[in-house]
Amino acid sequence: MSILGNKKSNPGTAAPASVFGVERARRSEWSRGWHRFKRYKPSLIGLVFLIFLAILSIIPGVFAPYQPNFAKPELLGAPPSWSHPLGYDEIGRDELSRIIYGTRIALVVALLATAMAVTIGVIVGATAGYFGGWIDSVLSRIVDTIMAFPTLALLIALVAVLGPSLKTTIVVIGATVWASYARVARGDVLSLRERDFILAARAVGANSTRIIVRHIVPNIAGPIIVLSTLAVGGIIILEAALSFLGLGVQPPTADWGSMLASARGYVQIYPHIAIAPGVMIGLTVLAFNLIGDGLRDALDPRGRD
Amino acid sequence: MLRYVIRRLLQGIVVIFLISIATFGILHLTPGDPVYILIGETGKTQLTPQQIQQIRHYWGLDRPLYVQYFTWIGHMAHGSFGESVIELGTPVNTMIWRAAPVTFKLNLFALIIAIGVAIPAGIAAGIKQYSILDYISNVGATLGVSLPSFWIALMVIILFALKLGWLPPFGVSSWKGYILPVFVLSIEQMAIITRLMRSTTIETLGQDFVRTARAKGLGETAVLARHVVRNSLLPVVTVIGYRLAFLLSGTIIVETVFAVPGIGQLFVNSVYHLDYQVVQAIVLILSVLVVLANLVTDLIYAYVDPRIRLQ
Repeated sequence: MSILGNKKSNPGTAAPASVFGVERARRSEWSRGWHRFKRYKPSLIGLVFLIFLAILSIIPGVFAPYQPNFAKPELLGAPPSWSHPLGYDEIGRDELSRIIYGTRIALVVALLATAMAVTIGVIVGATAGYFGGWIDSVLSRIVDTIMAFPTLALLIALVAVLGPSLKTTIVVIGATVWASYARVARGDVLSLRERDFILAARAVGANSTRIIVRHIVPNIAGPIIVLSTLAVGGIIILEAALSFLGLGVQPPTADWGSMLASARGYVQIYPHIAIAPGVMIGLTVLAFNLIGDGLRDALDPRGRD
Repeated sequence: MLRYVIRRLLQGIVVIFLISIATFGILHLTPGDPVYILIGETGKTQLTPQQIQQIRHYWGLDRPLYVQYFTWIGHMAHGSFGESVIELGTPVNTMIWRAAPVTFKLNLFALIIAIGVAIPAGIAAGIKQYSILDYISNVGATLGVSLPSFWIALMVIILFALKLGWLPPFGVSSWKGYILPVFVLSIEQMAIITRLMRSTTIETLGQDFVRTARAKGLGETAVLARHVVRNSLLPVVTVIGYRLAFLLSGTIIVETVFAVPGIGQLFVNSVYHLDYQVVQAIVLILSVLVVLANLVTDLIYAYVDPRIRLQ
């Protein structure tokens, strides 16, 4: 909803709309989008779950019964009980509290890596599509190159050189996944470039930067928002996979992927530790995918039935 | 067609060239001298400056970057990937050839199973839209893309290996060892191909030629078999060619969890031991494979569907 809220005040779409006196039509496009989004119940459920996760990650201390790194060594591996619904982990920490604190890492990585990827991708894609010619050829080959790497292999190789940490995780994911945004942005800009309102903007003397920022970017926002929401799930899984391999967020930080990594070592004696982190990753990814499906129906005219 | 083939081949060559530069560059991304990556933290404190200089010279790190690149790429082109730093003296080629057959088998079986389940499921779901079957395959596909493979792997190990004792939890010493890794590796592909097959089938059902086929009195089975399924298969089959990069990402995780001695496990172990020769070689081989698979897919697609090459 915040995504839609931000878009309403976008100056890029406001300028041409008020000139032609169709302010009402512009506003109703976004509110029609919200109505279409609301109609698809699964995406509302996804949105509610995501808001719940966001609250958990902002104030985990209010919900978590214990500190994430507080250990009772005498209770290590204890199974679930009433006071500890998810039991204790392999060194005696409360599993539920660690799950709650782990929300923060998942969402922070997802948010920052997506922001980075969208920024790079839209700039590269819009530039390639708008200018065409050799600029397009060069940028498109770079995009092809990045998309040819199996993402996880490239991420692991980069982490191996840069050293694993939260910061590295965000940067390498952002630097790797931007290529798909560039490809979509380029395609959309290619078709927008020939439209009359771009010609009109050029005729009144707008330079390329102004046309890209004020006229092109606002018009490709819909598909990019849809794509980035659908891609967040993949980013959360990549972060968890890196941490699972010991190449992402480092212990003792509470993180779902690294919780699964330690659970793997104790899977024969304490199998209960392995369940909750995976369920949380799955539910979070599912929530983003459902929201993305709803947004596609609401914002992307090509995906509409 | 010839012009399309040439253009596509040239693009492929440019991309492989860029891939080689990027792969070579990864080692040089590090702040500071790459020799410290080779010798590690302990080497930094224990070796004398002369010894470090010798190592730098042995690996050619004292020469200009472009000379290093061309030496490296020359070796790669001859299929000689240098020597492992960890398994001293073992050529990287030997390590890769030792691991490749297992990975190949694993991925081939996974792809066959994914296609074998996903294509019939997707067609059925598309034809009987909003039926129970459509609902089940939709839920399955949604779970398949949402649940992380390493978690599914842990769950099937707990269930089938530890609780039921039917299958070995790790290793591929017998054919039974392949069942769980192949299953886990196939899930994501299965989910994606099912979704795609469903939407393509629905799209084809709305085409004019389907209405024509029905209007001329063809039975529904014949319409589906001859017109709908055939036309929906083409885009799906070609997309499978583009899925190789994702399959290879999956194999890294699955081989690590199930301790399968393939390329994925070799890759992760080399990263743990900072064996950069092996890491570079594997990244290069995997991505070149992806480029070749995409190229072949594009050419097949253009050959089968004239609309592509005439654009």
